Amino acid sequence: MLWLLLTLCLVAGQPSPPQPLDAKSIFVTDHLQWQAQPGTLKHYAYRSTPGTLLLFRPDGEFDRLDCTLVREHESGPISINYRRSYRLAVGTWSRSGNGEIHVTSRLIFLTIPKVGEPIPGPAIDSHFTAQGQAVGRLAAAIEGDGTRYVPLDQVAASEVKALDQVIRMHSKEAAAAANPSAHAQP
Amino acid sequence: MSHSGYWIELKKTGVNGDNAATGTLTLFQDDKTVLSSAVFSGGFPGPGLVPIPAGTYTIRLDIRGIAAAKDLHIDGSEVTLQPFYGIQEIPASIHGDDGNDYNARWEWGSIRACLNEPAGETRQAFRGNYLHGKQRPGDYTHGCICERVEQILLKLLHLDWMKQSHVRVFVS
Repeated sequence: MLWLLLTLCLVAGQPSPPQPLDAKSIFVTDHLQWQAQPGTLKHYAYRSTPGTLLLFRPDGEFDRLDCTLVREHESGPISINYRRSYRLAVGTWSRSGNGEIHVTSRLIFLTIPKVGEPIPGPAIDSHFTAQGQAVGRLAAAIEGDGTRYVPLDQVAASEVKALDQVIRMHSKEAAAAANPSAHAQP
Repeated sequence: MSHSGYWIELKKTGVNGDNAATGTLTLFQDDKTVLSSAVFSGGFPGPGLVPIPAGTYTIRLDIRGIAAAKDLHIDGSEVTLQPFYGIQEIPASIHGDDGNDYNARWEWGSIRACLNEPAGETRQAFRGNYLHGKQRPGDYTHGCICERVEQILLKLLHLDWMKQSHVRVFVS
């Protein structure tokens, strides 16, 4: 059915609709440093940590979210605290034969920009290395910018869906900012 | 509903194109309307990011400040403002300790007032909310109430806090 839909879109000359985010596309910073909350909340099981999510979607879309990750219990699922600051970059990725991954992306959201900083930002190239194999995933691990990323396992389907919606919402917002005349109301 | 002194009511009335709850924020003095503004709240998908829940919140006018470098939390490339539990002015530019000038008004507007949660309330959706302005174009928040025109925020900033230190905000 999916292939039929894609084929119909191609035949009609229309861009294919974005595919729902698959949790297997998500990698997270390895060795997260979970910390208790300060003050009166320190007795709660709630833990948080800075972390980065890399999304290598099968269709070639790349997303990077630098954010605060939280979990309500020590072994509970990981979720994203969007109330804290975060940065989102989106772009594309491609892989060469030797495991090198080339990414081109633009920053499209950050909580507090520098004065005069353009959003969306300029296109930035970066490189990662795929390491090992894992069923259904791009790799068993990915390394780049001095950091190792591993598959994100402990995440609820609802969280993945919400993440996808957040990315779509900010992408739409960035597209409107980059081309305001195309989105102006009559 | 009637209260003495200054108090605020948010009545949610609809949903906008960004899926945020829309409504009218009204500042009263006793039973008289002082100012009303169109506002929005939420619209952001994800656990705990619903529009601000119904409840009674408190704005502390006796905690006052102007955001400065010490209020910026800079963690690598991520920058945000530290929590502030009163009413805080946001300058057009804040010179960070890292040497960069930051535009916190992009996210917060020129004034933000903490909506302190009801006593004993620990649920995420009730905590860490503000009434604030916003420069970013999108009409959504991460759970806060956004008053873009900032007229009620400005009035709150200039109220005599020695006469009234707390303003209740009733969200229905």
